[in-house]
Amino acid sequence: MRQLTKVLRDLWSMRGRVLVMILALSAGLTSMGAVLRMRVVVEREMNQAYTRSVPASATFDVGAQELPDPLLEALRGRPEVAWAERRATREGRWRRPGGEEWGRGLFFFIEDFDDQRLALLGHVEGARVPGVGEVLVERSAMTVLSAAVGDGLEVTTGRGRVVEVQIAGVVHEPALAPASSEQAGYFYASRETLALLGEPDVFDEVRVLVARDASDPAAVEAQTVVTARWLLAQGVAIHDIEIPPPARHPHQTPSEAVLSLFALFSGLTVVLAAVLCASLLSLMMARQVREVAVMKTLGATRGDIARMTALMLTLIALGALAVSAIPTWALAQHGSDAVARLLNFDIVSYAVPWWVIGAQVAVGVALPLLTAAPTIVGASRASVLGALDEHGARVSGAGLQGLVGALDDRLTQAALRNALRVPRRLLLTVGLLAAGCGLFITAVSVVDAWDAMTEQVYETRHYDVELALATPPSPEGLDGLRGARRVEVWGTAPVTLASASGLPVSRTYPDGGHGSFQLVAVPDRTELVDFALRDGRWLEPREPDGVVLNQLAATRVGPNPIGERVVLVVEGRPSSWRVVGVVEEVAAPATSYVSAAAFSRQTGRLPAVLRVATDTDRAPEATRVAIQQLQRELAERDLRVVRTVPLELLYNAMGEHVVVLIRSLLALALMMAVVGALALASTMSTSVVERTREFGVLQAIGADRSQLRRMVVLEGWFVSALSLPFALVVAVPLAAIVGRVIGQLAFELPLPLELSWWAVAGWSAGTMALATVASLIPARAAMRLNVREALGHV
Amino acid sequence: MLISLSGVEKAFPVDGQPFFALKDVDLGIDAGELVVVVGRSGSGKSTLLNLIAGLDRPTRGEVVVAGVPVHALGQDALARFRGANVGVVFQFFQLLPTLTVAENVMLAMDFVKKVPAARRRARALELLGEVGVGDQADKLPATLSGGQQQRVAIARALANDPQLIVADEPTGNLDSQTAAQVMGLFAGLAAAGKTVLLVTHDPDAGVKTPRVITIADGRIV
Repeated sequence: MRQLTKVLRDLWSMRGRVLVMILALSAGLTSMGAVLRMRVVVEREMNQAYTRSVPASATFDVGAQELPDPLLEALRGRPEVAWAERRATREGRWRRPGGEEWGRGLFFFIEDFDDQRLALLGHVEGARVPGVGEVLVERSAMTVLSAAVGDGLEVTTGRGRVVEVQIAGVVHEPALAPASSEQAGYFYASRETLALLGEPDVFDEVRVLVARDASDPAAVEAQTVVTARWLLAQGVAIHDIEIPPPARHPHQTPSEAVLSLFALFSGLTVVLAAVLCASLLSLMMARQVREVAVMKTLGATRGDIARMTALMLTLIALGALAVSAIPTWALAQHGSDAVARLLNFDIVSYAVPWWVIGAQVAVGVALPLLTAAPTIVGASRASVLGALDEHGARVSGAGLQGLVGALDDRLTQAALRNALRVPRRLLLTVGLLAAGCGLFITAVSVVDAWDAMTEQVYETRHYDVELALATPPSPEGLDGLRGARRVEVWGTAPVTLASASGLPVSRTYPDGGHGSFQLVAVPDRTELVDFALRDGRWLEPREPDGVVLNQLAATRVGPNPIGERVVLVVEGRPSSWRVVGVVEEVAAPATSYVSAAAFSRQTGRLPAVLRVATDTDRAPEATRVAIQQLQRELAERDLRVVRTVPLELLYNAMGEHVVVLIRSLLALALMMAVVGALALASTMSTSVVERTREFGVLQAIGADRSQLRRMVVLEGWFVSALSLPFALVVAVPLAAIVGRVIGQLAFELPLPLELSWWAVAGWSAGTMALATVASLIPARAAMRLNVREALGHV
Repeated sequence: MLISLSGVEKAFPVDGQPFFALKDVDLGIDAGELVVVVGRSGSGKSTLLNLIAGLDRPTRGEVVVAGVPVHALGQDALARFRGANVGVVFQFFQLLPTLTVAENVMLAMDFVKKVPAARRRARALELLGEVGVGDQADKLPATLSGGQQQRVAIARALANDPQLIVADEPTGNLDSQTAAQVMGLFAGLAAAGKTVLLVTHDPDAGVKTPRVITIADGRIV
């Protein structure tokens, strides 16, 4: 009982330092607990939301020959099929009635909204079933459209005409990536509206849910192949089979990876905080060393002392856990909501299993005890006489002391020697600062590296807009386009790699973007792209069967693809190509680049995508105006634009995809900064308080207050500066590793190593300022004492 | 005989060479004796006290206190030995600043557990009363004078009713009047049957005691 009383009163007597320990540990525990909770909640809720929407296991593209009703019924009766539906998906455009600017749109045409059993839509607002000339809009697209239920929109699809439709209702499809990150509008309409748009009345997709093990990739593929063979046997032409990774949201893998990365950083933060606690405990025990000796004299065993020290730390840890409880919960909820918005699903419950709370408590208590174990053991093992004779300071580092001795200025000498006088404390402070600074610089550098990668969208593409035309243009039809500095005609077509089954299987999601693979026709002597060559060479003019893959496509083909032959399937037609090069590009799906001539030969169609560099020098507003002008002029020349993709849209989409990542990394960096700052502040103030008597001596021999202030400030600056080289040693490899992981996840490319000198400068200035304040405040208090009082200070 | 030292030697390494604080010490002290050890600073008297109190171990020789071979005990056994058999009083009192006067006394009982928990406060108050600071029981040490703090330290030393009380320069930090009162307390303890061993550099402090041991250069002279 007395031991507990003593521990509690000791904690109270050192409340300033205890508060620092609680705050540091709670900062670490908050970040760790929040990330752990986020991970558990997000993974569970994402999986449940996606699964609840019953996404199709596979989508068959059957081209212009819609599956007739009897065949559809027979398909539904197949043993490997749980359900099958016909659908149509069209890419198109939308704009406000009378508006100039077109946005990208994805149109899903559904046969029977009342009996839809795949890719279920959750009702949000308005009508559940759209009438003719009406659309339902996916809820995440409403902000992209800036529209409300009842509003009209002009829409058009590839081969159709511009029609005004009305937004009849809002729905939610959790299987789709949010419209904001894709910069697209998502629309749902009936077969009648498809016809109204001027499109052929053909539902060219068959979506199938497999009968068994719908979340097992191998089982799904095996059953899909059986279905495909049966369809082929029935005379159905299959152009493409899309089998997205089963039971996995399109953004699930990167989200999990990012959350793992957060877990790593938050884990490091809590370790940092625990080390800070251990170092402060060590300082506390140094002040209590005589008391320990007295207790031992009274009969306390090593176990008694160790238990009391551990109890002290445990109480601090429990305090930190209590302080972190609400911030952890709030941060986890906020973070989960942010991720849910990013992935377009709703969180039904924020509940976490008991082991999550248990893990936080266990780490919160065990980690500080573990890191402080040497201190606890040391305190309990100290001999009584040794402890009674302890005076704290020792002379350290003969080499450094020698260097300091070479200085002329006695005050500077005193400041530096003060910093060196307790080597263990100096080591811990420098270590903590270096670790905090290193992690901070790493986090900011990774964000900078992402920005640099995003900039590559502009640096490697020298055009401003991609305009897909309904029909191929004649060369003379593009002469003299106003506002265009250069115009090139490219071509694109969806493509699949021939699989082992001989069927054209892709991993594309129903939105047509995630997991997609495209064939791109490159005009001879293009000046509009400048991708970095990773391996091999770029295309020769009119190259007959050479293909250049970007890194995403190369990954699908396999390691060392140069010289290999690959079979690509375009609209059901297989063709063989020889890989001549691999390039690196960002903000693009898996792409295989071929010459325009080869593209036409294989697809049977001429390239019809314009890439245009405007003469606006990429000023955003001027470029937007120029793009509208281009579209008007193309319309005047009877060249109908079916898709407009400004480069700015790609750039923004990259930013949208990682906005949560960037904010969270910066938040974690801030947490690390807080822990590092607390370490510096507590060490500096302790160091000054412990020397109150020394200040008395210095004043007695003639030092004035400004000289004393200078001495303590110099000491703080010295410690801060000493940590910087070590921080860089931590930051450089860590930033490279983290950048590699994130880059691989996002682009299959490592992020460039962009060491943030702003972060280095910011941290240095911040720690210098903090060291100044943390030294001056207690120094001021010490200097307020008169010499006699200061000399009497224990 | 309560204390027996034979062939005791204590050396400390100084610049890589052994410095002998005590050499060939043979000593016997009976139960109930009041012994004052005197000598100049650095003569080895505190080292002698530390060895007898179980605060340190000899380099060579045997130290037996109350039948216990102290020289052969490990750290925890030494702690238990001290708690049960020795009461130590320091020059600078060494009271724990965050505990009250009574709690300081009770803490010693908590460690040793010789006195039942329910009796500890009453015993602490009793001991504090005996040394004349009973009215200060619930105050923190910092609010007491030096003499009062040393009385508390003596009460704490008596907490577990040890046979031996050792005190290293117990009056070194007190004025002469208070020092005399404190020495009177020790004399009273000896009269009550305790063995009291005092160390002081002041030869006058031991004038009225029946036995004085003088140490010079690590030897009893």
